[in-house]
Amino acid sequence: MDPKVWLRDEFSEYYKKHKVESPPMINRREFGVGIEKKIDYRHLSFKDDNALNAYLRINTPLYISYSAAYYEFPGATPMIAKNLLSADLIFDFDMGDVMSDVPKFPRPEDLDLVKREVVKLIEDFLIPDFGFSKDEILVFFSGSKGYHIHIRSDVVQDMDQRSRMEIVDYVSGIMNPRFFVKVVGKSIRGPTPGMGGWHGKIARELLDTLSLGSPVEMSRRLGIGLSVVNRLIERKEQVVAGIKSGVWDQAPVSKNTWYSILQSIVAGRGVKLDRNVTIDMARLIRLPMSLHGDSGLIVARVKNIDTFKPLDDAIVFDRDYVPVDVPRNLNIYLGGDQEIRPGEQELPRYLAVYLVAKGGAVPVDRS
Amino acid sequence: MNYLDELRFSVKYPFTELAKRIVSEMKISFDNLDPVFIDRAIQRINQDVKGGVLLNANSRLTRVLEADLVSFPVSKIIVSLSPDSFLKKKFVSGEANALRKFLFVEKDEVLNSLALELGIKIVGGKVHYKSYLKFIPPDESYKLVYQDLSSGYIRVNRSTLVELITTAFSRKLESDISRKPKGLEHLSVYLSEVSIERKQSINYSGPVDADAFPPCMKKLLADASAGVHLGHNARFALAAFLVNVGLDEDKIIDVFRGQDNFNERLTRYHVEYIMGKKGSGSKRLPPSCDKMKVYGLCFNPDNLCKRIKNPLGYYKAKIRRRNYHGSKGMAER
Repeated sequence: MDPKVWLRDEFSEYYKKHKVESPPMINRREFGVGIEKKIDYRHLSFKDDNALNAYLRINTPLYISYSAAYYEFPGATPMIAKNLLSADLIFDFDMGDVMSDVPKFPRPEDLDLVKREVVKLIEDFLIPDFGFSKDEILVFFSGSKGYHIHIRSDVVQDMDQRSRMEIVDYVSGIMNPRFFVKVVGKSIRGPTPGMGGWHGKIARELLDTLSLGSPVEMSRRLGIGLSVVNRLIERKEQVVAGIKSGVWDQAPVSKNTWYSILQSIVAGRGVKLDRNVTIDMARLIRLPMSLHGDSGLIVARVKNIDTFKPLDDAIVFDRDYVPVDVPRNLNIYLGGDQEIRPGEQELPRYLAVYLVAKGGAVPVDRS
Repeated sequence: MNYLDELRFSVKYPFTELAKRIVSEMKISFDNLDPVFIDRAIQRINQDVKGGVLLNANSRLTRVLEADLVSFPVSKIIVSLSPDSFLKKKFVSGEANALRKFLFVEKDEVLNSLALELGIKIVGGKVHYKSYLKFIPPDESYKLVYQDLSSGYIRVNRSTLVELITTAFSRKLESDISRKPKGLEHLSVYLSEVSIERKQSINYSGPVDADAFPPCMKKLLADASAGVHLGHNARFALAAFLVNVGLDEDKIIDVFRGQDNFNERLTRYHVEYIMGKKGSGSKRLPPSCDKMKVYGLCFNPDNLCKRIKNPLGYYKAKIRRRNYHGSKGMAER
């Protein structure tokens, strides 16, 4: 049986039993749907959540995305005719941004790497620096290999592309260290730990690192050789006092060494994410609470990021058994470790859907 | 403030509510304007296009101050009736320069209230990041990543605040003069008294001078020669730039030869498309500097970059400068 046909039937049954809650102002949003690709068709629009849910039950795409932007005419083409009114602020995190080889069957620890970036964005930037409240920051599991953050507050709505670019540059720490450490006369001036923004982050991180006991760990975090680290340790008291007061020349290192130290500090603290999704206001993002065609998992709302387990909590299909054919032995994680031997067999539906979606199994027609 | 002080303030800051109130209380008839106001307005425009209006903000004479004040709305009307975007641009930058001079020596509390009047959210000397981003100056040092941002607000120094106010004022003025006021078309006759020097448009299709390329294009070109993989936007930007400075089609194609997925036929198609030989038939321009920034292709902008809107403008300016200084030694083609 054609896996896509089978998968669409499964999805259709799911959508018949579960109503997808539509995003706010659904009639102002553009939608894109796909079966072969993530997006085969876009420029769709729905007048309300009944229309959306009817579409999901009958047409049943394997992927559905919606616009962060609100348009006067969301279904119009070309793009310019839609007349952009405003847009939510979106951040997109993907396994591809944190690792070079993205596995086909991710393990919880792979997705934890992505989650770490999400937590970093929220706790190091969105809350302390931008002043967003926790309630304004909506976190979703992408349904496959990442996370999305949607901010729908009024304050972000009319921001232009340039502003969004500045924000994403800020959180990813795209910067030139020369703007933080400056030579004034014979003195080197740098940020103090009490300052806001990256200034404070850099100074605090530096003090943190200097308080480490291990020179090897210091050398790794600062990205400098052990001999320089040892020189820093020798004068540690003066260096620490200097940084606290913004005078950075108490350390026996040059301005250029500071630049390279800053670069290392920032590289670890900046958030790794897909810049373009934030900048491009016309981007379509996976619809919350819809199914993801690469996994059969749901685009779940993450209420508590610390305890959320994507490969357990985003499972929605039942545990009843369905027949599939598995060509190769598989050791994967989904709702627990799963060791699946090759051959025709009956597997719990949620696992069967997951494997079929990933091309790791083929559905068997016994009717 | 007494009337004289109010007038002096309004001459400096004619966009404020106070200034508007004084003008409206003067009950000026725009149908039958006092020639004094018209003369001063024409003079104002002419000074603006030369760099910035000179105002008598410290005069003791009500008559002088009133003429300076009223010349602002009158000059705005006259400029808005012109179809010339160059004139409009020069007018706005002249007014902005005049404003900046006053702001630099202004008291902090006045700066604060002017900022608020122009829609900049400022509390206790700190500007909300959204206002900041809306009016962010173009220099790299003003990027958000270098700002002291905490709980949504940025601690700004005086010169940053001056730049934000000036930008907010310029935007407002630009939008004001983009609309023609109804029923005042008769004032367009005075446009003939505005003299604007246009720099001769130069022909920069001579020999291609790579030294005059903007930093972004130098970097892209260097990357391309080094075989660094360029994304679609980067390739388009570089190819469109090279087409527009007049490099030969074959030489442009050679630039991309080092790309890992180089395909001569496809590259030629794209280059010819940009040249207007294919598709719409019109030559495509490289992306604007704003777009380049969005694409992440703006590298190490220098001082000249602040004054241009498109990488091509940089090249034109450099060539114009070179021609002006009569630099010889350029190989003729």
